[in-house]
Amino acid sequence: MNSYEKLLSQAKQDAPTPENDSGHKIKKAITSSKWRLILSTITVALLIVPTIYMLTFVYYAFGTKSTTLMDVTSYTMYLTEPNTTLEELEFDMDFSLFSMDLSFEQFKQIGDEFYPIKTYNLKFAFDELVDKEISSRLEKAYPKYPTETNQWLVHPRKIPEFSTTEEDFKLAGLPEETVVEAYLSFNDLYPVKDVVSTMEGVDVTWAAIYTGVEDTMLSAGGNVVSPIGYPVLPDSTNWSPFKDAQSHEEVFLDMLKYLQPYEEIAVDVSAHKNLELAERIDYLEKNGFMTYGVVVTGPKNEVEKLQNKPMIRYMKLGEVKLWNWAR
Amino acid sequence: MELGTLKIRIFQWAGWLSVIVGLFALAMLNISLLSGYDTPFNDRFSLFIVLSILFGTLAFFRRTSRTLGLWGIALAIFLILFMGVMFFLGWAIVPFP
Repeated sequence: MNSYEKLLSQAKQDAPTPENDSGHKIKKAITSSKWRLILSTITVALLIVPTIYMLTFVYYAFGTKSTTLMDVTSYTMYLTEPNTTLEELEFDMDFSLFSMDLSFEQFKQIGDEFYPIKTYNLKFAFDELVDKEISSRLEKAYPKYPTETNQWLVHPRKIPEFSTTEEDFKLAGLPEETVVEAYLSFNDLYPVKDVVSTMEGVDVTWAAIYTGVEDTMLSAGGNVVSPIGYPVLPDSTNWSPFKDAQSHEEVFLDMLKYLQPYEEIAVDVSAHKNLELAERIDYLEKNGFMTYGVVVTGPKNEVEKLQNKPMIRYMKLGEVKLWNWAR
Repeated sequence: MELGTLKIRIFQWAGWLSVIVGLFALAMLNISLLSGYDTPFNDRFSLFIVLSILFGTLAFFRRTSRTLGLWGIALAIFLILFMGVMFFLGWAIVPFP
C-alpha cells in the first residue's frame, strides 16, 4: 500500500459514518431550534414594556393630552384656591406604563412676595387621578373638607364658623413690621373693579364670584359647593392664563367653559367636592360677575384700616410674613 | 473544515449575533424604562442598532441564516421606531424645554 492509499484509507476511517453524520445534524438542529425558541420567547417578553411605553406616549399625545391634564389642573388651582399662582415651567411630568405623574409647586402672594405654599404630586392613570399627595407649608390651612358653613369667604346671607372679633384681636396683636393675607367678606355683591378701587394700600389678589349658589353653598341638586373666583392682579408671566388679558372676567368664564368637559378631573384635583360648572356658567352668562368676598394682602396696618369700611362684614386672617412691602 | 461549511457558519454566526445584540439593547432599554435610570449602555444605543443591522444584513444573504438576519433587523427597526416615537411624541406631551 503506497502512502496515497494509506492516507485514503485513514481518511475513510476518520470520516463520520452516514449514521453518525445524520445524528450530529439532528442534534445541531435540535440545539438551534431550542435556542430559537428561547430567544423568541425573550424577544416577545422584552417587546412588551417598550410597546406599552409607546402606546402611553401615543395616548398622552393624541388621546387625553398630557397638556390638557396639566391645563385642567392649573386652571382648577387658579379658580378654586384663593390667592394662589403656579409656575408652569416648574411642572414636572413623568411617564410610566399608562400613567403620568405631575408635580408642581403652588405659590401665594403675601405682602409683596410670592411664597411656595404647597407641593402637589398627582398620579394619573390614563385620564383618571389615582393618587394625590399634597405637602403644605401653610400655617393657616384652608378647610380641607368644605361644608356649607366652613368657608373663609362668605356670601352676605351666610354666617361663617369663625369669629371676626377673634380675628380682629389676632390682627391687632401682630407687630407692625408684618405683612398679612386677609379674607374679606362683604355685606353685599359688588363689581370687582369697585372693590379694587376701594381697597387702598393693599393688593386685592383674588375675588370670589357669585355664581347663584353661594347664598346657600348648595347647588340646585343639593350638593355642597365651594367658592370659585379669579386672580385680580395683572399677571404678565408667560404661563399665566391671565397673561395680557383685557378682562379677567372673560378669561375666568373661558376657563370655566374649558374645564366643563373635564369637571370630574377638576373635582378630583381640587379640594372641592363639587364644582357644578354647568349651573354656574349659565348663571354667570345671564347675570354677570359680582363679588361677595376678596383676598387682600398688604401691611398689617393697612389691612387693619380696611376693617372700618362699612362694606366689610367679616375678616379672616390668613398667612403672616415679616415685612417685605417695598412700596 | 471546508470553505463552504465555514461560509455557512459565518452567516449563521452573523445571524445569531445580530439577534443577540438586538436583544441586549432591548433588555437595556427595558431596564432603563422600568427602573427610571439610564444604564451605562444607553448612550451606545445607536451602536447596538447599527451592529444588529450590519450582522442581520450579512446573515440575510444566505438562505439558511435569513430568518435570523430578518429577526435581528426587525429588532433594530423596533428600536429605531421606539426612539423616533419617544423623540417626536416627547415634544408633544412635554411642552417644556
